[in-house]
Amino acid sequence: MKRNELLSLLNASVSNEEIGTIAICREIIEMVDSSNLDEKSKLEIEGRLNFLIKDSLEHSKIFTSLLKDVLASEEDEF
Amino acid sequence: MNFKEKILGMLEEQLKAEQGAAALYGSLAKKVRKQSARKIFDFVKKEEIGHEKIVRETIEVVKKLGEAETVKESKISVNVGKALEEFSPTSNFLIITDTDNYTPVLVNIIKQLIGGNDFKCVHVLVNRTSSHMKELLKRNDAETEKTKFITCAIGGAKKEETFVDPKNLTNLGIEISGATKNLKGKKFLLVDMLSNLLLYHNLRTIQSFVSQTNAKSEDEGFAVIYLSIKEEELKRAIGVMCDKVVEI
Repeated sequence: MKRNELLSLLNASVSNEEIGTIAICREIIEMVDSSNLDEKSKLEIEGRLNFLIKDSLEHSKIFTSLLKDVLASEEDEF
Repeated sequence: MNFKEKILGMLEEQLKAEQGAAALYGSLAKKVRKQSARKIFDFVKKEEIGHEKIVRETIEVVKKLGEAETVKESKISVNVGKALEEFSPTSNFLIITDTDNYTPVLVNIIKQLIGGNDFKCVHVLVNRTSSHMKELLKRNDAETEKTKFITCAIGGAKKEETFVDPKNLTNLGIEISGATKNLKGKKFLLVDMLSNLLLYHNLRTIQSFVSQTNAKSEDEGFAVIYLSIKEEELKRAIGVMCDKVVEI
């Protein structure tokens, strides 16, 4: 795979994690947290979504680190 | 649309995103030759498949809920509102947050300054494309028409987007000048996210970029918000060059 193609896909992957999963889950948690739902329902939803956020933050870090490696590398093929 | 329908709609959207991500990372794991990269894509793909299951479970939980409504303004929105109380067309603020809250803080800044205070904006995206950002803002009912986007996401920008290589801060400065000059009325520059420039530059170079941008903002009459993930060194180095440092 060409360097620029991989950089493009890694940038898209970071965006997917941050703008996709993290942003949507945070938004739902904010809505649920500020609603008049009972505490048990809130915890059931927020627990699952917080798990997704935690993983997605990790994915975003992994992809950013890989992006750094690719940027630092002289190679053109990956 | 009521509360439950809105959340279900968002979860359905998330389900599609998880399926799309698993497919994308799976195909990358096959295409890429570098062993370490292949392992990473394969690992993340497996996790995305697990996420799909979690989102399906969450959908089932929400389906069983009774009716509910949002009863109070979100905490982040209130905190951003407080942080921006003293923001004026000549301010330069450093706003720091953690990764978890970064996107909601960003969206709230844009909603409150553009939607609520009639500012126009030049939005520098260090690691995202403007098409992704517009999609995010639209989903949050935020204004996109009063903003000029400049993306520095290497390889990600489409032909119609304004792209500047993040390694070339001189060109970025020129592009910012041109864009701010073209906006009439109250305007601000949003640098999103400043800490990601550390991927491409050392701290001293970023300090110099901030210093030049602040001088430009004074000469040309625009405000600046540097939005960043918490990095102690960056906070110390850039904080002293700003009117106000806020942590949200």
